[in-house]
Amino acid sequence: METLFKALCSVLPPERVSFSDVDLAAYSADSATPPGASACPLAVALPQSPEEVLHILQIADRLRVPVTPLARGSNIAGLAVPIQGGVVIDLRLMNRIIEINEDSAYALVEPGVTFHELSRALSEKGFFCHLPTASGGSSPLANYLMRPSGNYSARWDPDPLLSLEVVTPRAGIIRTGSAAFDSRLWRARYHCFPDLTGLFACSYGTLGIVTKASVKIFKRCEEERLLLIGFESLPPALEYMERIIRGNLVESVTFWTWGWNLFHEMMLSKQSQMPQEILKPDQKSPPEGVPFGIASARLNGYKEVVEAQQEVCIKIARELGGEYLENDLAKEHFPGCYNYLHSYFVKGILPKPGEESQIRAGLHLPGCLVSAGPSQILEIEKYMWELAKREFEPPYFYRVLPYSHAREFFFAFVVYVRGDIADQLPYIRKLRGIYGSLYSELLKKLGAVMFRYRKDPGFFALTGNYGQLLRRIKQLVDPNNIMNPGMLLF
Amino acid sequence: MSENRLHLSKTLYTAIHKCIRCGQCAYGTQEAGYQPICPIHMARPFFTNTAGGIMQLARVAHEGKLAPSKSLRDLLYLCTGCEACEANCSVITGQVGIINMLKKWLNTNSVPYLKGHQSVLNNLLKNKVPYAGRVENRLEWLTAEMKKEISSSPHVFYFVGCASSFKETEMAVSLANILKKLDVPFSLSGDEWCCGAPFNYLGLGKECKDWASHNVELIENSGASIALFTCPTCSMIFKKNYPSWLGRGLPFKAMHVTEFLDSFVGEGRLKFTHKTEKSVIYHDPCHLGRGQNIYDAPRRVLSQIPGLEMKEFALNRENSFCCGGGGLLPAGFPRVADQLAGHRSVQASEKKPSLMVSSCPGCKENLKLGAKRAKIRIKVKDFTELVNESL
Repeated sequence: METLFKALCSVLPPERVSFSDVDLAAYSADSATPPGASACPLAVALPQSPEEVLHILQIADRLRVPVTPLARGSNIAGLAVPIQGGVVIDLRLMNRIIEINEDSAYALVEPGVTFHELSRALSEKGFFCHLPTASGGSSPLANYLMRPSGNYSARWDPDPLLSLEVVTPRAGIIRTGSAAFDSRLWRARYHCFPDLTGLFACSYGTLGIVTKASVKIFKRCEEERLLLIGFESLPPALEYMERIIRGNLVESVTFWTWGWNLFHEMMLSKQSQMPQEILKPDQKSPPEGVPFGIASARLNGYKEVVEAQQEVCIKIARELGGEYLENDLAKEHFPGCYNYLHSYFVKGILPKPGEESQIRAGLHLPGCLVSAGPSQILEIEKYMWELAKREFEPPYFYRVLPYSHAREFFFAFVVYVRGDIADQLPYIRKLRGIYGSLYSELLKKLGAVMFRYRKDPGFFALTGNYGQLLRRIKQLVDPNNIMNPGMLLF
Repeated sequence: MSENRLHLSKTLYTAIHKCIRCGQCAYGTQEAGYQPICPIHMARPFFTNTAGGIMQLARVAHEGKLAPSKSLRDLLYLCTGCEACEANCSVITGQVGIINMLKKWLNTNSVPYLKGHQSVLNNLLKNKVPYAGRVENRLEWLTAEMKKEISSSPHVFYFVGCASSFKETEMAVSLANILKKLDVPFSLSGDEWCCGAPFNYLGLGKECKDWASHNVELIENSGASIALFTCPTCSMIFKKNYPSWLGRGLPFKAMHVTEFLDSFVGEGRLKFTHKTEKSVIYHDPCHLGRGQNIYDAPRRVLSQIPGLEMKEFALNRENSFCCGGGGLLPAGFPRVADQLAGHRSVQASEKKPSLMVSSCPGCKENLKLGAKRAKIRIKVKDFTELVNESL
């Protein structure tokens, strides 16, 4: 401890490193940490440059102390809790938007930059970025590194990352993509050599700490619109989404079921009670006058083109039994939902209050997050409804969005836990137990793949030689296994 | 450590558990331009120094994993009670209340106060005023001529408050003049006690009830139907805390001077006769804005002054940045309080006003000091002074 203290103080000024019990306690848990299970680090460090990050990693490597990187802190899945103690490297002071390159349509950001900050800066220049259903205070860099559930991934692709700057304990500071050749070139993911950006994506801080990333940004056009279509079940909605994406009619589209949409209504108020309708025992049928789900699409282009695209989308929707919900009517009947969707899809800004306001009414358990081909999605939906009817308590709901030309769909099934956490612990444990075996089952039966890693070493073991090779790479860059070992990935 | 646990209700413990560390309590949201809004965080950039960080501390203190300590005290007393966290958090409400619970927990575990805060407490108990020095006569500011205006059947009781009685006395003089000009019969009393807000900040409880009883009785006996305040902390404490401290509602209406004069605007009874060519930037006091939801009233009144040009801070209304004068911060950490006021003065100077106006004696005092130390040349006045000059 004394050695660690002296070593860290030799590379960081005292006001940016702390061993105080108060600081250690503040960093010991997040909303996913079960009651009583907080884990204190030995120290918290706030570096301001990749060189300082490197110094910290070298010290940790020498002393064999684990490190847990934290981009901006926002989290609902326990990804940045120092489960094995060690040093928390809080990157919030590395918060520069270094460049917005309009020529090559990318932004170069540090990990402490938030979606609020990036969206605002891009908006001033007529651009927008991939937006997840996360808090506006979360870090785009960290979110994108975990494979984002971004809503603009349908026409473009699900991966906004280009080049990275990564700090590793043994290999030093590495740049990937085009930046590997020249630290002024950040426009490309890879050129003539293998794609190392991909190696660090979804590695959750276990291979290195990403201190810069160039991310894709998208140009706003003359006309931007929100197109809402109500559907009474998933199959026609899925077909609608597939057709409008493959027909190149919209930029993005997402299908939210009624429970999720009613939760959006809560955002306009400070109420902390769930809307009564949301608690009905039959979660498969919506209350009267509410569509089962709404497919929300973003249209973006020249006015005449958007006009024509909207017309065709509505025609397709009607062929499939969907109901076109005019913006004005939606605004009147579902003001919270409209406000959220409009901000998200048209303004390209995570609204206030955002998705986090749902958490006000219940504990959010990151549920089933998988990706699968279009036909498997219908099977997954069926499977989850049956499972939920058997095991879950209301409310629960899901959202589906197509990725990458509707080649695969993202499926997120979420359960909210009502009441006091102390009373609900047995139920929460039961849910965690169900999720524990769910992913292997969905993979085996329906070919669905876990979207974000859920601390399940057994799932990683399914990857065979791929996993073996990754383990060897891990041993090479982090032989002492100091990098975020609490993730249980390697 | 377990016997020293902080007690939290199941509901509070659950609410705290929901914090997702989004940082909006420290940086606000899109509307605030995502700039630091929390005085605690301005002092130090760790997650600990955010309402979210303090919520985590409450959580682990409840779990018996955090001991009461001076370092925790030093963190908690950076909070000015400005409520910016509460206005921006989408998940939890009542962060300032939870901070006060932690302060109470420190008290019950005999963690000593900071020197400055111990003096405040000693002064309060001795003088019924948080200040030392010449504090015997609360009405020293009242001229003989003004004394004649005091009515025996008042419509309004002017609860002057400690800061307007002893420090920013121009505010008290201005309000007395305004009431005279508007023909409002008023009274006041030299037997007024501090509203009790400092007890709240110091995590004390049992004293509050006696003090509230004394002040309410004083006003009730005057026969006035309205208690009028120049200090928004006093009016907030009367409106929000007194009913719960006393276990009953107030027998009169409590109004801050801004909302009182705003009602005159609505009735067409406020006629400004003096033209001004000032450009004024209005600083929303935390306890008036976020504390009582009064944003439009002062603006409506000031906008009636002929020739006055109103300017706005980038961080205004719900996102107003605290001047650093609240929560006894100047008594505990005067340098931090200065820095915050300096920061706010810089924000004001960016808009190039000729005058910065607030409606709180604490804000006025702290902004004057902060601007001076930050070497920002800007005049600071209270709402009442400007109104009085223009009537």
